[in-house]
Amino acid sequence: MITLPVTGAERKSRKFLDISHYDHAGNYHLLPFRFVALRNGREVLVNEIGDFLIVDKGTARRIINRKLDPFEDSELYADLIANFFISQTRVPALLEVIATRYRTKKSFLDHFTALHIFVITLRCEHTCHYCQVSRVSEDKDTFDMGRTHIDKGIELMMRSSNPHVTMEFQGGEALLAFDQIMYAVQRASAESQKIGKQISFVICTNLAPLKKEMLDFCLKYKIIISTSLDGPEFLHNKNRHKKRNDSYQLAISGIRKCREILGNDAVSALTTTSTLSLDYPHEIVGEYINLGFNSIFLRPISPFGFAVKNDRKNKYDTDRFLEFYKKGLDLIIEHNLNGNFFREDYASIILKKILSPFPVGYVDLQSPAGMINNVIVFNYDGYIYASDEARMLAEMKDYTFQLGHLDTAGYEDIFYGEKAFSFAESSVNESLPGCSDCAFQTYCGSDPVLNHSTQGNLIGHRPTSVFCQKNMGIISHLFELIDSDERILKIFNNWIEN
Amino acid sequence: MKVKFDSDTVQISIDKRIFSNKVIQKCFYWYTADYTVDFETVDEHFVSVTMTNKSQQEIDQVYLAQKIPQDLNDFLLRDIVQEETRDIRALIVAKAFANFEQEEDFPLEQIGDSLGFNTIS
Repeated sequence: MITLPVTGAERKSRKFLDISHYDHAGNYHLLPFRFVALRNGREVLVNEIGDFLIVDKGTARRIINRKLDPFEDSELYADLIANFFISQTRVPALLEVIATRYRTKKSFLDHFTALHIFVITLRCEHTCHYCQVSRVSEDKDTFDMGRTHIDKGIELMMRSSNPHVTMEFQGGEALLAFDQIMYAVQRASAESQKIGKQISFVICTNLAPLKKEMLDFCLKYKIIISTSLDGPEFLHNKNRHKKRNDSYQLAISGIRKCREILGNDAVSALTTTSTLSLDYPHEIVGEYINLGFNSIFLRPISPFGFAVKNDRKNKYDTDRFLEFYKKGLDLIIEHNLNGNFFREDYASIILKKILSPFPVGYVDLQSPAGMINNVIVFNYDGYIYASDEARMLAEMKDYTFQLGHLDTAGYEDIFYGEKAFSFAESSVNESLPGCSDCAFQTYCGSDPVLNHSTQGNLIGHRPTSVFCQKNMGIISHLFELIDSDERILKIFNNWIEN
Repeated sequence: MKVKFDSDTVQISIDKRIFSNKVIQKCFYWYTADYTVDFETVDEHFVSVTMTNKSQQEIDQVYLAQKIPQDLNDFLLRDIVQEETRDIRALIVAKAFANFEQEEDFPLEQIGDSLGFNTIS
């Protein structure tokens, strides 16, 4: 093989300027970035717009102390310039690009509230020990949402500046109030058509009361079904208690019927991790794979309401959850390495924030927090809450996040009222203690409701926060995986592209 | 910096000329899960930080003797970045959220060419 000498013309065609163009050691300006050590002896640098570099430990110190030499550290130096970690001019030449990227990262704020949750009934025929809300089996009139309240909720939803809203029906068991769902869907469809607003419908259900007529209606209005599946039969039935111990069978048969009539993509399932679940990560993941799902959301129990009343069954250390999560994720990655597509949803949400310039519409990982900005809850009794977790707190008689009542409150009172403003102050992780210096700030979010619920104030205390511990643990782990094997990075990119 | 261990306390003497109060407080904030942390000004140059163990576990002296200086240095570095980039960060955020009435059409040649794209042609 003949190696041709590099000519001047060829050198000029390089994408980057020659290294001699750059100044000598230390003569550069820092741009905003944060860093944290990983457990593999490396450290990750993350800039203001979420771009990252995984480098040897001590690199941040060298950069900040102006010890980098553009000749000796040419590759790193070029990476730092190209990825907006340092600049050769005090104001970076591509400031407009950085600002546009920042705006894109925050573009989830552009259209305001999208998700409108209607707690259509509090009635339920299950008695799950981790259920975050109270459950009642009878008295339709008291525990179903009245039509006046449905109308008012739809009216407020139509006032959202978001051109595409989601109307999600929750319970209790939502299908027990299917007549109310039909009324709400028909009315919301008609109202949205009048003003040209796009609307998606979701029903959250355990599928036990499912009937064919319901699916026909769902097909007509393109309603998505979100169900619960906690894993194999023994685990699901233990977690989700029902009189005949047939919750699993009903869920499986419901999923099949939904797929037959609505199509595979119209039904998804969520897991909830009880203390018992922690011993079965492989079995839970295996169950989802065997049932033909292409993803699983490994999520811990929300520490709200009734869920934390039963300490033995539902309270566990975040360390134990992280161990469970990593085991599950390992199996999922192995499944992908064997040529299959199967995604973990929580990792995918975070990876999209890490590997793409775009935000994710996931309300629990946003700054400013998703409450009110992205989600609002209309409860069965007409009360309005800042988030789903906020209404769970209300079931425990904590009304901190109650914003008003559908009978009396106007749009401005709820969305721009005093309470909304007071929550906003503690919902920006850029200014929260512990978060303001965190390397993972761009990928994470803030959760004032969780802070209030678990730590007694909206700001929270990061060193003892389960939210912080969980997200720090998972995000660090994802970076370590990215750094460990190029094939895993390819899999992760595949997850966020599909 | 001097680190002194007792059965359930750790006492650290820190030179404020090297580490500002802000850096010290941000650093020891992260120890408040396992320790009660008190600050005391010794003189105009030194501050004494006392960490009292509130967990059941014994203090790991070897680990802390290495971790505390490392954390302080890291927070010092973070502080340097924050101070040096404060104006740029404000500029980025202000520009990002500026209310553009119409698409701004900024001439590319004025942006500069730090990556050398112009040489491609």
